[in-house]
Amino acid sequence: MIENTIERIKKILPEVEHVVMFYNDGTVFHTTFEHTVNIPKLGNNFSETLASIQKMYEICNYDFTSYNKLVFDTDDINVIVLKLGENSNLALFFQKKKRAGELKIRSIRRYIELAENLLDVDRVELVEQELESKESQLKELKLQLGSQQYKLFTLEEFQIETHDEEKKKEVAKEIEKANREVIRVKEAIDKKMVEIANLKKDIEREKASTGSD
Amino acid sequence: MTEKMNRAILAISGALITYFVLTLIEQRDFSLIVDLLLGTQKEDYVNLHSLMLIVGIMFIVHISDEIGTFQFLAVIAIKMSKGKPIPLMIILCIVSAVFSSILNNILTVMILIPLTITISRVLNVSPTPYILTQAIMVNIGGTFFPISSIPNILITREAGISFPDYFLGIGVFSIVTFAFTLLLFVFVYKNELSIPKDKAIHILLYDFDIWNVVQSPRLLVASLGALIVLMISFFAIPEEILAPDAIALSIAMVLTIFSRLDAREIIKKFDFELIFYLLGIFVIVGGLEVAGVLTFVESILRNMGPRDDFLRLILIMWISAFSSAIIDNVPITKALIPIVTGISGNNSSLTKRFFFSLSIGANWGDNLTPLGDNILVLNIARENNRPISILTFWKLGFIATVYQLFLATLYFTLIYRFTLGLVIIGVIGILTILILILQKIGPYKIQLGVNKAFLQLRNFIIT
Repeated sequence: MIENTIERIKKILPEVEHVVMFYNDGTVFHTTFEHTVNIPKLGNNFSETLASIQKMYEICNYDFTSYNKLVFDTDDINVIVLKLGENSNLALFFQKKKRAGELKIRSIRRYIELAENLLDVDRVELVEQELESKESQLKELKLQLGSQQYKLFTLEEFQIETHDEEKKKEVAKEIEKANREVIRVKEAIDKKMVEIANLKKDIEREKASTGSD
Repeated sequence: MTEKMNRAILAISGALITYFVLTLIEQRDFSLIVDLLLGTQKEDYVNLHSLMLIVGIMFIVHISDEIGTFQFLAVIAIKMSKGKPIPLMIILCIVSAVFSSILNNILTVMILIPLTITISRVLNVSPTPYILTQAIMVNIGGTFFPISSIPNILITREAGISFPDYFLGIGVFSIVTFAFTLLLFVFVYKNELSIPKDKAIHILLYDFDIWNVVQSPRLLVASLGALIVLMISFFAIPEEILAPDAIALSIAMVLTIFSRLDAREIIKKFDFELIFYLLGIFVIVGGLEVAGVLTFVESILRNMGPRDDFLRLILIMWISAFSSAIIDNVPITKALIPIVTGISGNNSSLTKRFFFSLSIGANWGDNLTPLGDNILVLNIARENNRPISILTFWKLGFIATVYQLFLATLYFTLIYRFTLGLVIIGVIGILTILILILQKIGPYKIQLGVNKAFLQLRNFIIT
């Protein structure tokens, strides 16, 4: 999957010679460089470069929230590091001789976003996923409650209608069991609702702190 | 206090005060300070041997880290889980315990926690359960071998406990405790771990190239070879023929020369803070011993504490565990070594068992509080934007450690009071089986009650 995305990027921008996908801790996830290159060191150097620039901002008393891209222009090679996801980055090595006109980074944005989705997930997204799963669990519990309440109703109807004492006793036991089940499901629903409310608060808090929508 | 001020600076300051007191007030000779730093000829320069062993292991570990050996092994293990949550948790715990049996705890978490967060990003799952369980297992790995932690190196050097002796006495039991702790973690997290999507699993298994974490296959083979030779030599070569520190340093030098890595870069990574810290602690604790403070504490403990050796052993373990949780385990171990030697008298087999209990307490007690190395774990998680609350860490850490110390108490009970130990194990076993049977096939009300109790217990630990 990642390989296909890289191939597409290289197709659109033939001047891209090599690609490195790496995380902020220096782990290289994917690269087109051969293994004759010291890849762990390459990842560490990228990570240190980004950390150094962040430190430079702090020294100059600028607020550093996050970066978008870093360009390093030399005679033969251009290196552009783009921020992918929350903690992932994409470095593109351009061969200058092949380059015609301005770099069309925008044209590969779509593929960058695709890679971002494949590689990284931010915290809000993670909590939103959890919320989604809890909401579907709640939905299931509500359905379960509905069916239990219907079962209870049918049993109670039957208990009223029947004249057989033996059967009445049996149904009474069933009703007690169904009642307990209704209570259990109701408790589980209450708990799930509290969890959902907490997750929603968590998302709002996270969004407010990062200033995202 | 050590969070605010560097521990090496604190230890050296303390050593300087000891030096001034001994040379200016007590009018002692400078050679005494040299003896405190390196150990006396009579005790076979025990401190110097410990330092040499630590430096040798540091060399091998840092070269292997630079090559990417540990990261390579970790990624292979993670891929073996095929992205399934419970196998992934079990594999990460095994990796963290095995790594910490060779590396120190700090280096283990510095390698594994960022890698875990990266993997969790790829799999689109929360890393918190994986981070917490690994951080706790790191301490268990510290008692697999005599070289697994600084307290072990100090204890085994001082008490003359050989590599196989330690492994058979404590290492094997630690592996059993590790398995029981894994069971506890599976019980706590089995319904909490989210299952990754197939696409994410595919990316982890097929797109993440494991060779990206290694400098070169040749170096990988060399470093793995060095680690294997090191472990075999420790097991096979008796100390009387070749001391472990000489083995470690020799293998380290061969690996450094063979790898052709920049030695200055490797030395730069050395934990000099730890070396200075140890030298400071050697002088402070040695000073307390010379001044008779430790003998005084020992006599108090001998007279006030229980007369029974079994109870003394249990007490040593729990006291060292709780003191290691509050203070660092290195000074605690160094101070308790002469006290334990004094209490055990001349009985060598008793001394060995007392040292085993000290080793367990000093290594495992660390997780009773979220201080010390655990702060580093929380910091790494926060830096990677996956914060974990101190309370969450502390609850799981405290419960897991008390559970492990209880298992150790049971182990020593079996050694000293076999029948009593057997009765306790029998009662616990029967109760567990009974609860499980009731949960599966008991009356509905009881099934409900047991499930509710399990749920509440899990929620209490996790939330």
